[in-house]
Amino acid sequence: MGTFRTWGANLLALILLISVSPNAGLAGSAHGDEMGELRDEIRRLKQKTGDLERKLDEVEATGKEERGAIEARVEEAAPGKAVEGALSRYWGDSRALVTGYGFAGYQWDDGSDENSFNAAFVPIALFRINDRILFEAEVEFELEDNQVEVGLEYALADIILTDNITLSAGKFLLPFNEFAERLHPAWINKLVSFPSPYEGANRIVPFTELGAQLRGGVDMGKAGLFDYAIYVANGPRFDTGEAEEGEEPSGHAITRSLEDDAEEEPSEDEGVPYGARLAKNFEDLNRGKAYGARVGFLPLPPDGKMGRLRLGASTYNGQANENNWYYAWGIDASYRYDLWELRGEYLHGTLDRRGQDDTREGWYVQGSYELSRVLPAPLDRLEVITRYSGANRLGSDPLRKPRQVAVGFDYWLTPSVALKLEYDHNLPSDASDSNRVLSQVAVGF
Amino acid sequence: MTKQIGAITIFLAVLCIMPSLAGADETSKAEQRALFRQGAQLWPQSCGACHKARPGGERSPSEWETIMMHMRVRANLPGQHARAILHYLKSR
Repeated sequence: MGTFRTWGANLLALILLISVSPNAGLAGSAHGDEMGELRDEIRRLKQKTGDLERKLDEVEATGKEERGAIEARVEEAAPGKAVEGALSRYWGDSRALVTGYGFAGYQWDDGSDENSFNAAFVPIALFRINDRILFEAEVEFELEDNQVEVGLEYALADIILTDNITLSAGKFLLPFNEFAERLHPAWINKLVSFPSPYEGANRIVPFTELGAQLRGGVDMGKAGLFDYAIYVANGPRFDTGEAEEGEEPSGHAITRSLEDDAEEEPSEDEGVPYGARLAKNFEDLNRGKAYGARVGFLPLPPDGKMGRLRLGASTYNGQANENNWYYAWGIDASYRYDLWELRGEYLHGTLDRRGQDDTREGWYVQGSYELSRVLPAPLDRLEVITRYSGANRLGSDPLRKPRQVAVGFDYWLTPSVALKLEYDHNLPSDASDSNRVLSQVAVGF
Repeated sequence: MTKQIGAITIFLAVLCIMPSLAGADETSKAEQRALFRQGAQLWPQSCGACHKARPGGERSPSEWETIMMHMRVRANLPGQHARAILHYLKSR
């Protein structure tokens, strides 16, 4: 019995062991799967929560944007605001602006008693009506003959018709070569003086004209850039005499008004004499007008790796009086590479007098180099400039062949503020101002 | 003569209400970057041709708009060049 009991107990234990052992292994495996599923579920839920949060942010942002737009529309639609908004869009920003330049200088002439200080203030008013219409005017206040001379240098309306065509009408700087229109302001002109063909009795074309012009530029891609100006204007007018007594025909100071100060009325009975000088022509003398054009070509790519080269040609032809026409033409070139700049112009004018033509010509060549890589600071702001210019009168007074050598230094305090010092040697050397020193502080603002 | 004056008046009026420089504000960021690069290239070449190129910080963006219009006419710049230089100056 005891043995049976022992055997029975052992059998029971064996059955239990057999029956329990596999169950225990299966339960552990099921638990692990469940845990994995739970982890996956949590991950999915987290991802969904993240997505929902992002969507909520987007909805909120969109809502704010839409609300802002609606509020702006409501505000704009309010009485008075609509008109104000429309006007604001029409006019654009910053309709009026004053820019320009001024200078103060001192001139010392060898052999002359006219050493003197001088100064001028030349504001330019810009009125931008909208993105297509601009009105601009330059007024010059200059100390001249113990009084303040006031002159309207130019005043014109510009209407931008297309990307490549602008219509300008009014009193404008003559687009003939480059100096008169683009280079004469004191803070741009690197020397104090003007080149011979743009000064006093040597002048070949007027600085300004009254009329209308079409102008613009065309980017021709790899073929380069083309620019043009074509105009009709009142035309030339000449005073009756030679240079006034005591006034030299060349090498004159340069800080005077751009317009000739000749006041004499032309004598139409006698016609226009030799050596006549260009004078103001605010009212046309005759029905004949002046016609002219300037074209420029920039063949090099605009990246500047090969520098910037511009070649130009100009013409100006106008009826001076009932019988005489004036024909002028010019060519110009400029090349800028790195710190170097070289430019030059040639101008030629003929007053047709039926076999007794008055022909004049003038030219200048100017080179400059910025010393920023040669000198240490603060002298690295220096620039050295030299210019050779001259003028000829053919037919009338062949002895008048003034020549001028000018050397100058500019110290650039900023890109628009320069301290200038210049020495001129005028030929023939017996001229009253054969040697001259000019200094100037020029400010562009 | 009266008809001519009328035609000119209508022509100017149409010009006045024409839209601003072709949607410059609506350009994409990529186009603006391209415009900036073009302006950076043209600025020293076009402005420096006559005078020292003046930095963008000298003027406010709205002032540059007026000045660039003046310079566009004076320097005979094509419209695209003027817009690129203006964008460059306003960005600095």
